[in-house]
Amino acid sequence: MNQTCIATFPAVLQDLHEFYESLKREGILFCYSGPTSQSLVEGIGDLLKQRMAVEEAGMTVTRNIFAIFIEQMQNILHYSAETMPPREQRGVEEMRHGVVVVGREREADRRFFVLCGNYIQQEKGRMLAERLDSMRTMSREELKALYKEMRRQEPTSEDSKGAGLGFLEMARKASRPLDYCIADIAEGLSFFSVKAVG
Amino acid sequence: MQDLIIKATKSSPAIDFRVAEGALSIRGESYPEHAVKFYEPVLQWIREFLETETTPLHLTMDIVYFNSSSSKILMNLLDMLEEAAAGGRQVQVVWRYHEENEIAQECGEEFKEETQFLRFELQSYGDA
Repeated sequence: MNQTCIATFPAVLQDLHEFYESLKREGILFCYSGPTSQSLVEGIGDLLKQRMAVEEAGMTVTRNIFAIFIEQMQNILHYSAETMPPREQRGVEEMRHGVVVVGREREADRRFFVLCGNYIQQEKGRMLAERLDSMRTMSREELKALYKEMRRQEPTSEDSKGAGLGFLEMARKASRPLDYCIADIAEGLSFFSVKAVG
Repeated sequence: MQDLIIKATKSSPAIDFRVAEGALSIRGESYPEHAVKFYEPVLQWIREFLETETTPLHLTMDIVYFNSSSSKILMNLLDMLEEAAAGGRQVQVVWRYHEENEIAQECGEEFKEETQFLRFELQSYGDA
């Protein structure tokens, strides 16, 4: 292959073409990493619907994946422990960071998935993992009953606006139990990722 | 008391509440950044309407998609209407959904299951 590079790219991005192609090989439709905002969520949400129409996904699958995507992105938007600027500067709105990947699985039925990750306080991460563990064992009916119960609960603190209801929503919209990964990064800090398959 | 009119955005529904007719409608998508903040004037208006007016209340909901925090608030809203209906107020809710939107239909059914006293009706529509 004939290649000429005149650039000062960081090592990890030196072969951007290889990176790009490897994403495609993995069935990734798109990925985003960085600061989030409501308008970003709305914009990518639109793109997602259009992209799924091209893939000839059914309407119900598209709506389920869209709903999962919104819950995932708004989780980052509201709860990611990584913020820029780190403390609120005058006139600069705080932005929360995370990463989202939307793709299709390589197995025969090529299901769509949304994979999302962000930093989280270790303690909260553990609680979330426990909650997801218990959701993984629940039937559709049990998930529905719990959803209805939690929907009526008053939020206990500022921190729990919509507490956990988003994850239940995702679990109900997904075709199989939510997968998750929690990695302890530093004292009190973890990286949490959740994969939902439509 | 005044009518409450809020224009729809990409992520928040159009609100059209009329005092004289007791006709309320919520229409569109609902996944605003801060659902609590968005719905605050909406819930406040209904509270005031139920306290100061005596006319029957008719609410039409045509919500294509709503996120989990909106879901919680819509439940609060329906609880408020349910309480009024239990107290003898005439309250009707019509949940409208596109015939091909199974998810919206299911959501309407799940809200209906949570009510007892108010008249809750599901209505499908096709392409106009």
